[in-house]
Amino acid sequence: MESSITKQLNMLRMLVIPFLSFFIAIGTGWFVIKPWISDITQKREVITASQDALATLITKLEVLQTQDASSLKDYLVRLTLAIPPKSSPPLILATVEQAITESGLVVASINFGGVNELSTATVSEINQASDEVDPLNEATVEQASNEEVISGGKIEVQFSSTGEYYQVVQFLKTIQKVNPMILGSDFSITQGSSTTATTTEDGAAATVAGSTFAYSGVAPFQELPTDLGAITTDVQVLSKVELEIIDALDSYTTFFEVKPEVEQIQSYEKGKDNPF
Amino acid sequence: MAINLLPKDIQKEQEQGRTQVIANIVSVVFLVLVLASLAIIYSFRAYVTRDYVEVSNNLSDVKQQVNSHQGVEGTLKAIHLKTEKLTEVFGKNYPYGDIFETLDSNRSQGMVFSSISVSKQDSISIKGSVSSLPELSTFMRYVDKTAGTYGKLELTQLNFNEQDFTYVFTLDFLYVPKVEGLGVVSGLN
Repeated sequence: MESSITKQLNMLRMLVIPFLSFFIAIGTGWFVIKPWISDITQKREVITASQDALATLITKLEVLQTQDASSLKDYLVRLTLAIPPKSSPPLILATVEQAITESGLVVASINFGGVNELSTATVSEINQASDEVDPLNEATVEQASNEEVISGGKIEVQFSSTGEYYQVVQFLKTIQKVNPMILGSDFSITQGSSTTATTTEDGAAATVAGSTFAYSGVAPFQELPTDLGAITTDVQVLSKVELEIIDALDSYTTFFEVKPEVEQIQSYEKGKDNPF
Repeated sequence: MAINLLPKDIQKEQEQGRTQVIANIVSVVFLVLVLASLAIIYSFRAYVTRDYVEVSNNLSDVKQQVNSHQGVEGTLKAIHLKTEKLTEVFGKNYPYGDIFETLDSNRSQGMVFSSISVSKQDSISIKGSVSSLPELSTFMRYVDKTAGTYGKLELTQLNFNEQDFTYVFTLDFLYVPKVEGLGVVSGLN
């Protein structure tokens, strides 16, 4: 009996060190090595992602550092004169009226046709009240009914005036090269449908048959970006085409120079999180 | 082969002792290996952590520098947006002044336009009268030959007016804008 107990104790004594080693190894592996490996894996993933972000940001920083802020501001001012950041019906109406006056036409009526913020207006909607529709042209009309003159926000303007053909031509040439930009969508000139009072050589009053010019157009506007997006969002330098577009605006006339709202973009203090 | 003259139970104890020594050595070696790998992983972790901190600091510095140029970035993005819009607008800014001018200059003396209308931006309709059909034909040939500028020419109405002996006509056609470079060019003569 005593011999059997001694044998079992001897057996247990034999297993102490191996078991102890085994449990230490398991404990170390589970509670130390595993969390460390997990930590290393996570950090390496973060390092890889950070290095990618760093490369993007360095490229972005190089691009930003080479830009001339004052030139950019000047470009943006010119662009906002052509496409205003906000809808301004008085400015559009005043510009149209000035173009009419400069071309020598006489305004009969001028109307603000509303603002389309969500670009839902179509040419057909603008022209819903238009006169007869040629039956032979119906297919074309239906085909074009869903086409927008221009996408995005726009102000609609309509007017009718009287004058001569060459004055209408002059108006159309003027309005094509004016800031803010106005696109004619529907217009018509009807000869001899109006009379203009005039004085003959012998001083007698007379009436001269003129033309009636009816015009419907849209002036697009577009807000400035309000969100810069993620910091790692790529930024491009101005392309040659973009610079040509800006240069092309030099040939456009601005009747009423409204101070653009681009100042706020430039005037933000350095280091602020988001200027918008 | 040596003969073991020791009693059986002593022989067994000796054998158990050897087995225990081997088990202990294996256990200790295993433990040492575990501890060695622990040391290696610890060092590697320290190395990775140092890299992590360094990259994080660099990233933070560069982010700060990029943030300091947010004004320029905002302006650049606004310019990109505006020029994109202007490209669209230039493409729709049709030279109707030139078009009306050339249409008028290409009509004959005996031709009178009573109305010219433009709808949907590119559908042109001319109503008028002409003293002779060859004159109308010449004008239509002009519109037709200006292929690439006008299209789908149709004489949709032609009546003889007995009162003034003229032909009343309606011509419908489309203006096909020619886009060159930045915008629409008239392409007219």
